[in-house]
Amino acid sequence: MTPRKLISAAALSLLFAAGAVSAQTTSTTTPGTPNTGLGGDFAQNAIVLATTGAVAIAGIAYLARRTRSV
Amino acid sequence: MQQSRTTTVVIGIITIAAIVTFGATLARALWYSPDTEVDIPSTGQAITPASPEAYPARLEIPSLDIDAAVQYVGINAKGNMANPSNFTDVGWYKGGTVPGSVGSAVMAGHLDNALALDGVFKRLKELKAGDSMYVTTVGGEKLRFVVQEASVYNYLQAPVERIFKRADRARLNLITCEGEWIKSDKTYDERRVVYAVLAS
Repeated sequence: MTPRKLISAAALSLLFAAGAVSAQTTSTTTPGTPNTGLGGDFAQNAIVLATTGAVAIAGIAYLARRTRSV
Repeated sequence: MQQSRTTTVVIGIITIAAIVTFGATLARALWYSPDTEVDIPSTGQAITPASPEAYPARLEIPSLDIDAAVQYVGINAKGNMANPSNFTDVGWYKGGTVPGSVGSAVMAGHLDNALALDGVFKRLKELKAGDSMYVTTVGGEKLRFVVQEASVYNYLQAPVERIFKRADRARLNLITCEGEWIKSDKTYDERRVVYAVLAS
């Protein structure tokens, strides 16, 4: 058995032990389709990043100046 | 002096909060896509469990330069197939069929992340009939699937029985989002499904 197969088998064993993957013994109901896209949140995230980034930079600059002047 | 020290402490706290918020937002936007899973409801009908070695480990689509690790996903609280936890892996619906067995194995991947950068299935719309894709199992077997067709559905009207339950042959169906963003539902309004079959 190659190292990669050993690692895969070991990883799968751990997943089974953790309950994350169960050998399926009964059929399941039909799910809906997944929601696989988040790009529409770009504007909101960009605003949050810009705002918090600006506050962080301003705060660090202030604290650095305070530290130097003490 | 006391006031100056208080101001410094307050600004320090605000700065730390801003840094943490910035980092958490960036991490979730670029790398982490949480989806809380719940138990998959059973129909009670007994089936023969698949061998763990048959579980998928990787999905390759050479024509799209995709070589992705496979996560095992269930369903979320809304009863929909859950998402993979990042934007570079694909998720295999573990409540369904393993790729290569008779039935419809289903894999999903993100179209894009929360900063509108490409997800693993950004180029899925380029797949056409006859294109090949490969699933490597945990046991090391490499299975080839050939695309038959692709369809785009309204996200509320996708034929889920066809996507998840068709069991006439060994199938692999890939899903991603498409269309326009619906802000109220935080989703794109369409789903692209690529239907492929195991090559004989």
